[in-house]
Amino acid sequence: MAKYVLKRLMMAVLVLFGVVTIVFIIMRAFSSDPAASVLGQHATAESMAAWRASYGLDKPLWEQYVSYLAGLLHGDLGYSYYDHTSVAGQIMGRFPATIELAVCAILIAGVFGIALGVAAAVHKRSFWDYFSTVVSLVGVSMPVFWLGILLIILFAGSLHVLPSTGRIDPMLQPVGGTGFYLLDTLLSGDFEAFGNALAHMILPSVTLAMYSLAIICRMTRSSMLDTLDEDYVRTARAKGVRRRRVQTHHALRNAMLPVTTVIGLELGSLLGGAMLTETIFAWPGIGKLAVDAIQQSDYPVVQGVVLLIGVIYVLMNIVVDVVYAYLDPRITYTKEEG
Amino acid sequence: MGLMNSSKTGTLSSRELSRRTFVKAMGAIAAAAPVALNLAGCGSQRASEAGSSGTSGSDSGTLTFGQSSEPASLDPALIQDGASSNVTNQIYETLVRFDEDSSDVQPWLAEKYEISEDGLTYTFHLREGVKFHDGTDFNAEAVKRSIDRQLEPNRTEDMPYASFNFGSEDSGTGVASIECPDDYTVVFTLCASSTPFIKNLAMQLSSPIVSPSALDEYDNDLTENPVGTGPFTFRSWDHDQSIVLDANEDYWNDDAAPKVDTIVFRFISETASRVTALGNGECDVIEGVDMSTADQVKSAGKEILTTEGMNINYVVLRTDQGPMMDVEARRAVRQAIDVDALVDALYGDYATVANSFMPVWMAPYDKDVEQLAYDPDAAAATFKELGITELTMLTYSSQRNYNPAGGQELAESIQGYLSDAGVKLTINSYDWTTYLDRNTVEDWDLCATGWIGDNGDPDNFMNLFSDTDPSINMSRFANDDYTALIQKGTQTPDGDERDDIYLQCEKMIADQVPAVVICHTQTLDGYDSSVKGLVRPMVGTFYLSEVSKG
Amino acid sequence: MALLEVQDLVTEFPTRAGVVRAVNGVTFSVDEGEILAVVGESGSGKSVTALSIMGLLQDPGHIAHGSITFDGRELSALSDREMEEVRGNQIGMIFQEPMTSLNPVYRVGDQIVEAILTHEKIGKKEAWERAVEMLRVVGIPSPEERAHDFPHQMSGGMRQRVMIAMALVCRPKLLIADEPTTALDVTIQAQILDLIYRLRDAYHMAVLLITHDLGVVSEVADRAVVMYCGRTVEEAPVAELFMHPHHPYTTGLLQSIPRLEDDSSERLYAIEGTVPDPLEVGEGCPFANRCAYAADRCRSELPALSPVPGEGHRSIRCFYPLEVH
Repeated sequence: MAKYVLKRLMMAVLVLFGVVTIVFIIMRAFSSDPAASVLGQHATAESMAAWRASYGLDKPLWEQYVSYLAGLLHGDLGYSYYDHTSVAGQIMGRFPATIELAVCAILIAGVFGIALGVAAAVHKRSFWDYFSTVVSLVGVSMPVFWLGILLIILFAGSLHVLPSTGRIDPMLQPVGGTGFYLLDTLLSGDFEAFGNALAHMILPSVTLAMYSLAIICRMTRSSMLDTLDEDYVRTARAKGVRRRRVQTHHALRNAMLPVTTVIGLELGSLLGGAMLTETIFAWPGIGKLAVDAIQQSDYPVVQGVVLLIGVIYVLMNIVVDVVYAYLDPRITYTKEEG
Repeated sequence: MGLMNSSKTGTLSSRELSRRTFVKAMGAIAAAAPVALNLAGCGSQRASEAGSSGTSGSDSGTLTFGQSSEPASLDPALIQDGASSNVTNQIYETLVRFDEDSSDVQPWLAEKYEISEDGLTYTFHLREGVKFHDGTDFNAEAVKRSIDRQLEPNRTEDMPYASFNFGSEDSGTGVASIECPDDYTVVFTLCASSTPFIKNLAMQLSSPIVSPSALDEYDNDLTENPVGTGPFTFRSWDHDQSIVLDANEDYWNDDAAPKVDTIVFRFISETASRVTALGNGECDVIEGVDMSTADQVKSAGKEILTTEGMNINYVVLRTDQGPMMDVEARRAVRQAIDVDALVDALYGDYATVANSFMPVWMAPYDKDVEQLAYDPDAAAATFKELGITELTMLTYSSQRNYNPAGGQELAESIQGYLSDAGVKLTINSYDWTTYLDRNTVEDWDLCATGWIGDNGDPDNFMNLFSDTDPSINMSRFANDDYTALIQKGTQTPDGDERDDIYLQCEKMIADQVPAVVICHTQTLDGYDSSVKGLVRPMVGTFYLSEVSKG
Repeated sequence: MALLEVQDLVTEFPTRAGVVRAVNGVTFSVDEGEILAVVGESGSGKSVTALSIMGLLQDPGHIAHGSITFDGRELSALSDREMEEVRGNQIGMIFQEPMTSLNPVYRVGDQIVEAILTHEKIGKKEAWERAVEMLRVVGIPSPEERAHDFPHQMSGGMRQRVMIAMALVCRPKLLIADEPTTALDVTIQAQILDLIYRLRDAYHMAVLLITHDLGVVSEVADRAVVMYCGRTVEEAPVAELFMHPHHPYTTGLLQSIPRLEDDSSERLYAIEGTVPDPLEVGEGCPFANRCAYAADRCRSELPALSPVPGEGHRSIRCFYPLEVH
């Protein structure tokens, strides 16, 4: 298994290399001039040229590429054109916010998606079955930004029961710690801040969870329907195993194999920065960072974020494969595997 | 396989996914939350120090200001946008300051100043007893250090307003030297006389005075460590979330002492979210309200603050090539558009029709300037005579500060008017940054653009038509008489003579039509009725020390 | 009284095309300790009968009529919970496909332990030991190690043995074996049958053996019941059935068995005609259209299952049963 993981990691490096190259080229070839963004209204042709020169943007593309790669190999992701802080610092500062949001969203999506999918499969053609179909359809078709704004207007604007934006009230912000506010506030015993952070987490994570929930629900339902028809489920019932246990221990346990893959990949996707959700909810994660950077043509930041997203995806894929092998004893990677 | 440890006892594997565990965990959290919300916090590790309990929304000592983007930096030398100056304006101060309701300047950190006859020497007598937030003294040395670092050769490419405020060697303008004859006297010597210079020193960008010891400590970059003399001190910056400022207990000016204890700046880019935050009590004040959201703010029970803008929304006409080279053609374009109707339709009450390039509040002598009247028949006749049947217009697609209806909408209105006059207008619309790239390289006859004033000086507006840089002087207007007037204007001291120069310039613009001026738009902010004393100055951004809550 | 008595069982499946009566009048009984074979071709309703007894019919199938009495209790009237206590505990069942009948993600030992712990409150360690012992009983070598295997690590024959171990670990009184050897090689077949036979002796349990293979019937069964089109048509002790079949269908089946001494140049015997569509159940005897001896009465009237006079435990559903040849 270790050899398999190692092989996958090596291939991952190749993939990341490709990703970095493509983004590099796209940003420089197709996006507009960062000088205009940075210098504002008074940007003259001259000052923009001078600015570009000072950042090495007047050099030939391949030369810029090589020096960027050289920096990467030293762990240097460069500095933002816009505010001159280190890209790595910005990304690492923002990443915990995205992780926290993604984890909460996937928990909601996973718990409710699986529960609904199981209910739909076990009670075919009942209310739960139709309800799950509706939920799945609506969840995949509903635009995230529409749902997000709707929830904000409803719960914050009209009902005033939840905050509209941000991670936490600025006065309750935890200092230091892991960067995961829910965790930090709990660990330091600041329950008021914990409650506040939790309240701020509700709308964005529900918004973000919808799509994944729909997919997980659908996947669970069809997977469960398949497994419930399997011979070994019949065997379990023939042994006299209680119905509930047959559903969970036998059917669901096997149905979860493809669903786990889906959950893992969805989590990878959410970690990649839920750009729309983060923008609407002013959530300071890497998705919002990427959007802002793209609008400002802040090449180093965009490249850094894309690289991170690439790493997340690749790692998540490997993790999913490993977990799958862990869950399904029939899968083995030790012989030949590709 | 290493992972497959046999469970010798034969217990059912703990590796199995348990849906129930998830459900239980979530249930626990959901049950805990309402309990947690009711528990009082104690001994917490918070950014907020002892003394401020409770959330910012409820506290009458805290003002929460919602803006659309985060500052790029809190170092005045490195900023060029309102988002940054909203914050820095509370932390730093300038030698002189703009009045709230005009573009005149008054002494501030300087008690008085003298300008020599030849306009080359400015002597400032500084106020004594003022301290920076780090306890060091404000003095001539501090002024010199603050400005010197922005003069060549110290200047870097990251200082967007350094050359505007303090000139450059190429153009033979700006500050030649700064002397400190004693601790509280600063003498600026200019390369060439420049009437706008005193206004430049009042600008919130680039001109505020920073603490030299902070410059030393933070390697000449105060982006994250701002130290000024202003009514608020910097407490913390949580990137992409908030900036917190505290009232400066030792502020030198008792008359302008802060009336709130804390200011929290929050960054909410999505307008709908920002408005909801105001309506929900999470923000006391929000900026970036446009025409369409003004109604939402009012229906949420909040107030709108309307301020005349220092801007101009206009359409340049290309004078160096194409059909617009002919001045008659340009006049015809002006005559074809019913600007009054257009402004009313697109902007309603939120803009004033422009009769001059500069807003009249800024240049009162402009009040009688007249542009060519709407005369569609004359326009059509001229186009026919000149054989003009097609024109191209370049525009930005988004909304701008000076054009809240959006570039596309403006272009389409004009397209309609030109069509009535027998001219087919093709519109090329790009997103803002692409538009910036393209407007100097593409061929176009008309181009939508706008200008936001920097320092309230007429030269700041009018020199757009004499500049040689095509990204500034988009119409490429090159009129020697005009250029001569502009040059003279910068050298002439304020007074009737100077006013007349710019009046001439305006008349020339009205006559030669290198641009069709559309309107000056208002700036809108939203605020809660508990907020008192909120005034947006005509030049620059808020002084929040005047604001109180409750 | 017989251990298991099935009386006139009718099981229906509503489908879009109409109601299918997969079991359309099945009557037989199994005594304690005896092996009863239920014989018939595919589609005759034998598996559905077994599932009906166990209460394992898939929605929308249901028992429409008839009674199933086990150990004095009416099974079809039991609640789900009560039935769960019967299954695996008093009646065990094994299935045709050992390759897919075991849960792939659990070790075989754990799956047997589950069968134990569902019905008996004993400690896990003790249950595990019993499971290992059961594996030994069914003839799996090195059972202590094999118990830690996953199903995919075992051959078909081994898996079927595990199934048997699982079904019998709680010492049920009746084992229902639905085509247990059909999916296995001939040599393994023999071993499995032998195992069932010996276990029947060791545990004194009854076996309801469902098969289409007359060879299997002759090897292990004490008595046999022949089914055709969802109905039982003949019931007799095995020796009697083979030597003196009374129903034309039974005769046809016996004749279809290829014999080693048959002339290979001759065509194999096959009963003429095909099994009728279950949706088109006619009035009369279901075999009428293929029966060489059918009369008009056969086509219009359904013969009842009646005991054969004078021959004890035999019954026949035919107006004109065949005499001894």
